[in-house]
Amino acid sequence: MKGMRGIVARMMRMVGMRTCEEVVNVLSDYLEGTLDPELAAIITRHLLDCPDCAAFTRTYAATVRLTGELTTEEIPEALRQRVRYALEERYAR
Amino acid sequence: MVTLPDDSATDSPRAGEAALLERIREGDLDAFQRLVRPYETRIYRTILRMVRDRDRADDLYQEAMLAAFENLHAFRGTSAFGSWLYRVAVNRALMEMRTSWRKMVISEHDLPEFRWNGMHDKSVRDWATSAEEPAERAELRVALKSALEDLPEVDRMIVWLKDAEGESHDVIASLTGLSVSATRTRLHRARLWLRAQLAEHAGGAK
Repeated sequence: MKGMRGIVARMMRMVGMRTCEEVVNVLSDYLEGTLDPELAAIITRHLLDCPDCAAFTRTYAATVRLTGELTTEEIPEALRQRVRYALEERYAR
Repeated sequence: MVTLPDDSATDSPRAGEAALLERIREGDLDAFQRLVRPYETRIYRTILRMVRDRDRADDLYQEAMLAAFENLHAFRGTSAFGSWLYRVAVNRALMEMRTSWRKMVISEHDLPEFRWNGMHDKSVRDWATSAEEPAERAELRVALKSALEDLPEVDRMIVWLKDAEGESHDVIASLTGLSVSATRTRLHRARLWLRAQLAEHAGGAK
């Protein structure tokens, strides 16, 4: 199956297209904007034509965004104090 | 107790930091606490994400901050103090932890599957729009937190450093001891895995 996918991928490349698998493989670089511009344009066209890849890309980006929202914990004041005591114990002149 | 200068009274944050660093060299521990305060929570959160256990995180945090204090003489002012401190502290915590990291990798079976022609194996449900609704978003955040804990430690660290803390691939590579290309690959696979967990939670297909 993997071998067949490789053959299909090579054939699609010859006509300036990519398979869904290849699109998913470069999503991270595509969303980061670090992909070669020519390949990025091919991916953009694919996303316009392929609802599955478009949905996959949107949910992939949503996952990244949600991770960025997990930064809610604050350092406990007791721990801050604990570090202060440890510093004093070791380094107070 | 020495009265510390207020940052707002100085020409720039850098000038404020320089003044505090000078006081620390004179043995002023208050100045150290003042200097690190804006960065404490970010360092603490990262360590907490690494170990999951709060007691262990507290111990690692304390060790990391003491290591940062001891290494202050190595800060040359060529980078922002916050970035320097974050790297020293997180690196210290990672050194403590690396030996106990599980040698786990994300299995191919947990990644998206494709048909013989490279198309998606199943139709992909778009739950990104519903994830914008506050209630759904809150639920997905809980699910994501739990999924993150199931990732192999190194992958969890890479995802956290990049997607939560916004660190560059270069910094992540130096902190984890991996190549930039390896951190890029692992980040993508970890995101794919997390997306699949959220898709299941949101009731969609992988």
